[in-house]
Amino acid sequence: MIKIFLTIVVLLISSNANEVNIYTHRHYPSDEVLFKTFTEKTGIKVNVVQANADQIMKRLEEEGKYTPADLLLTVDVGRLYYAKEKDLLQPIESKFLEEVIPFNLRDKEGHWFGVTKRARVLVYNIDSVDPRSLSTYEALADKKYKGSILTQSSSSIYNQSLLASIIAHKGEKEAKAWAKAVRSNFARRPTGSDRDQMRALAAGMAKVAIVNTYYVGQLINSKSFSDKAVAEMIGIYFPDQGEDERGTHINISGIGVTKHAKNRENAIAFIEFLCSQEAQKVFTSVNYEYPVNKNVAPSRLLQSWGSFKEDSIELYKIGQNNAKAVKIFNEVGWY
Amino acid sequence: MILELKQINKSFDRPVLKDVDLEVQQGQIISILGKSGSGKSTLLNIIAGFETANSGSLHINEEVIFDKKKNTEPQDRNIGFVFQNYALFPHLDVKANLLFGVKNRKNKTLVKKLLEMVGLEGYEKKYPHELSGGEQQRISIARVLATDPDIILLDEPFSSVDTLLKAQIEEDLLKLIKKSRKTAIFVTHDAKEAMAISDKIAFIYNGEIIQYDTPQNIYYHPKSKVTASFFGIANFIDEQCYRLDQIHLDRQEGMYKAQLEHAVFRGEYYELHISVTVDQRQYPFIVFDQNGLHTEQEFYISLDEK
Amino acid sequence: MINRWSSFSYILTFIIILPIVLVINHALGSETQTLIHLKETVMSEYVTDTLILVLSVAFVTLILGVGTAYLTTFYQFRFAGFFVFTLALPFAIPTYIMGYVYADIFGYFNHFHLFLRSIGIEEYFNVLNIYSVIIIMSLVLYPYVYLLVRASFEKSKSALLNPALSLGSSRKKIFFKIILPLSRPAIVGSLALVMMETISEYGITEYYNIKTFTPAIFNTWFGLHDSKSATYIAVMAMVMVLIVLIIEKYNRGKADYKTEDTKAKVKKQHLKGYRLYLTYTLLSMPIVFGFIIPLIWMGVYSYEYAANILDEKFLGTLTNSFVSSSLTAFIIIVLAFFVGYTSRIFPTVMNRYLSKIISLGFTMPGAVIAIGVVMLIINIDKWLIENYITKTLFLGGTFFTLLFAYIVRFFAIGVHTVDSSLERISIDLNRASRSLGHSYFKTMIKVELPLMKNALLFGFALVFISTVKELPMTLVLRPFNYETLATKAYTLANAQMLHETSLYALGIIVISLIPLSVILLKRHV
Repeated sequence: MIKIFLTIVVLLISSNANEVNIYTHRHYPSDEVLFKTFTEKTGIKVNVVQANADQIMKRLEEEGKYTPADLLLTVDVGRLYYAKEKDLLQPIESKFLEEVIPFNLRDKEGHWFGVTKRARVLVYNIDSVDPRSLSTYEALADKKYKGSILTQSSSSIYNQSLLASIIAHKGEKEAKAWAKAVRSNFARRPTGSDRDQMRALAAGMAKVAIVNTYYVGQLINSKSFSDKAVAEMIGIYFPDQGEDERGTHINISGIGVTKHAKNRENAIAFIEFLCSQEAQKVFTSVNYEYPVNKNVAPSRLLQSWGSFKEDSIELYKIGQNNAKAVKIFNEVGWY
Repeated sequence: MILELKQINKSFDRPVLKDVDLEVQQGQIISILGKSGSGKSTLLNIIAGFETANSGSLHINEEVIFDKKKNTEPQDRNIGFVFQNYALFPHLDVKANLLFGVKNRKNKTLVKKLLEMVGLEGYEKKYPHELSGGEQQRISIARVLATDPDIILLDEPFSSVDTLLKAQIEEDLLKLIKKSRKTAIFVTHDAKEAMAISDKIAFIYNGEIIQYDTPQNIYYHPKSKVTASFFGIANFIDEQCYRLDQIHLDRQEGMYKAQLEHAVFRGEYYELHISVTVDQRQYPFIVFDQNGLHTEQEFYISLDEK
Repeated sequence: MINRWSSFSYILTFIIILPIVLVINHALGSETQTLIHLKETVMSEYVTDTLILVLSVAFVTLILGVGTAYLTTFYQFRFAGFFVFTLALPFAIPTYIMGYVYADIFGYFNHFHLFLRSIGIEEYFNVLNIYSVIIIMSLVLYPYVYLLVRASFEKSKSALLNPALSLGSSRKKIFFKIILPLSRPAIVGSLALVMMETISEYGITEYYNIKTFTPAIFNTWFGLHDSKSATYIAVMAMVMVLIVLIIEKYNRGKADYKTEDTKAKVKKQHLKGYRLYLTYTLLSMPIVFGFIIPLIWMGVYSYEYAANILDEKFLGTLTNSFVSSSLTAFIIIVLAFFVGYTSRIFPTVMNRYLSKIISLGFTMPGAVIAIGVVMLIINIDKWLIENYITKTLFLGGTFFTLLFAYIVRFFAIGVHTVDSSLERISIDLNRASRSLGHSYFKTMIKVELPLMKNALLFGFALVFISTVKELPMTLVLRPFNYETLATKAYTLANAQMLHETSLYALGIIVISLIPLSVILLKRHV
């Protein structure tokens, strides 16, 4: 009796609609616009749960083969790497994606793909710093920066990725020495968001801050008068641009199809849409991110900051070194 | 027999009641007397069903209400309980308090009758906090009477009453209970009070009822020195107890010779601490004197047997 | 002997702590390596920050809460009614929003800083630090103490009338000797809630980078990918709170906190002269900083956006918040009342500690509970599927999961409000009713329920508001496309869309006002 009742209820609530279900960490206005456009174009409904990637991945893991989620969308490569390790994603093949996304920005086996790029750069106070005096991330370890560096805490996934890239390039020992030296150059105990670092920088509290570029874009286009003023007080510097240097650290916001996706075809169509010219233009113009699609140019604002050499390391290596980075942060007291 | 307790045992961290037996006849007024911590309140709670004994049995009207297999809930025991602080429901007015336990609400005159009985006519709409202590007590008894219980249990009903008013309230309460012809069991720590109101007194000491008898018997023939001294000044010749009213003093003649140790002036009388010689053995006595014997070194005493 | 009441209570407790048990079970056999790493590196920082934050917040809320409750209960002055009501309002503002507001006002290159510059002061000060967090959390949390202690004062103030007690004693003496001790269950209960909520707070501690146990758990779980050690830390936090609670219970010993509930009117003292103005100042401070300033902030930002207030999306979100919060609050209060009543009528050792055990969920960060809830619900779902009852997830990812998580998390609030009020009602009233022929159940309905009506409404309001503000669990556990005011405000704040953020934050305040008004505008409160 109960069985019959439950079956009826289940039949009533489970619809086989044409849809795609996404667990996403992204909380940007650009995404809402894109979801809507996708539905308009394909008739596929987009259902979203937006939450912290670590936690929503745990939900995905527990739900196992019964998960309703078809896609996992994160703001960094570390989580995607880990999701693959945990066997939460499945490989897909897409000629289009392989063609437009550079090799280093996607998983070799097709488990995940970059959707946008974000560069972690140095910003400086234009009053007190001559950009020519800046050079590399490594240079921030120099004693001359004592009391003049601002950055987020070590719980920032972007800082973790940056350190992971240094580990990947130079090994743990050197990375640890760097983190320790940078830590001793902090202007204050890390606190606040990337935006707050820039505000303090503009106020003259320090000389340099380590931030993601799209936050600069947000300040420039902010409705707030004071944020606009902050943007005018700071300059962007892409580090590691020298000939024998590796290029500015970039991370991706990326996506993968879940292992037990029920709407696999829709999911692939959705990823292809996100990497299409149309969507990529929205990402770069609304959210100030760099497009992953080789054929799409960054928005005019992003271009105005200049072009730069990117660190072309295969991004999975960053994911690989993420836990090591956290350990080093703990060890050197970069709270 | 209306109430019968057999071999009741109860312990919390330590034994509180040990093999308690008690029999109460219909219409009797009984006191359970003891000092605090003697187990008297626990015993009352066990009779009411608020606490559960570890072993033993309990019968009301020859019917088992508690034993190994059965434990009747308090609501089904038909026992009325008058609490030390009266426990009137503060959110209800007097009328609602009185009718709280009444199943048949059709009897329109019940409230009126009850209020008349306790002498609080016209109090229907008052709330407990508007009543004096004595009034609250009367309402709480009326509330119990309203349900027509087999037995009424009263937990230290006079402990929070002003000493000046105590005698009056004691008398009123007793009249009420007698009029209702109910069986009543009082718990008290005051021997005088117990003697004044009870047909029988159960004296409880360290969790045991060591004597259960009429006030007169327990007063004049206590079975132990503890009991004896709990009820007032007790003088002993060997195991025999003599109360003050059994002792007569005389300058010239008497049964035994007495020697004054010291005298204490207490206003109406002198309290004399004397040494009585019986068969060449000395016994310490305390006696009251209103005849000026405190100035004598030696005199005689005579003893009444009861 | 286990009876029906107790067994229901045990089953309920079991179900509610099951998610926590699952998470703890997960932690058994911790990888000692990670723990050694943490011990050698950041653990001392975690412990220090946690202790500083928890103890400071407890201290400040104690002073603020008891002080405001005292002034508004025992003194008569103009606008007293206004203060009684508004003093509770800071509770309606989510901590992370408050943190955001103050960072936006006082942070570098923000409003206050620019104002100082405009009048020629080049000073700047860092507000993104632990002192701000202490102040902000105290402002949000002191209403717990204020509301519970005030209710308790109201009940015990008749001690002032009792001639035997007041004989020759000054009001001050009676307050400290009688009323304050009588209110101890309320003070301790509310402080326990404050401490637990401080430990489990995540939003503001992360933003201001304060290393309490909660960020430690996240760092270990998701940074070092060691869920076992993370849970170990969570359990450590729980044990700390448990120890505090047991010490308190033990200390309290056999002291009796029952007073007769009376409706007697106590004449309040009139305040005049400088003492009146001092009172106004003292009472205004938490209101201004805890409510007015954030409210102005929201008002200013949402002003332009106000036309969109009847936007369908906003109303839908508002409805979601209202429905989930009232359901949660109703279920919790009914169940907490039931559990509290059971331990009252069967005061076994087990029953007495049940309410402590059941409220442990409150020390755990919401996200950790969420994981426990997912584990439990999915396992039930798997069982259903394997037994061919359902084909897909029936409970997982539905509103039911979320509701269950809310109940697990906020049960503590219900239990503490119910317990502190139940402890004040003499057991004799219950016994009187039963010896007058009523069953346990009928007695509960006829005696305890009406006597506790106000306390239950309090509990309802507190749970309701906490649920409206809840964020981390809602984010992870919600069904697809489900938004509450809190998730919306958070997402928008992250995207730096302050105008829209403040609109949703205002929404939180508005619906929190509904239950608050009900309890505070009642005559007898």
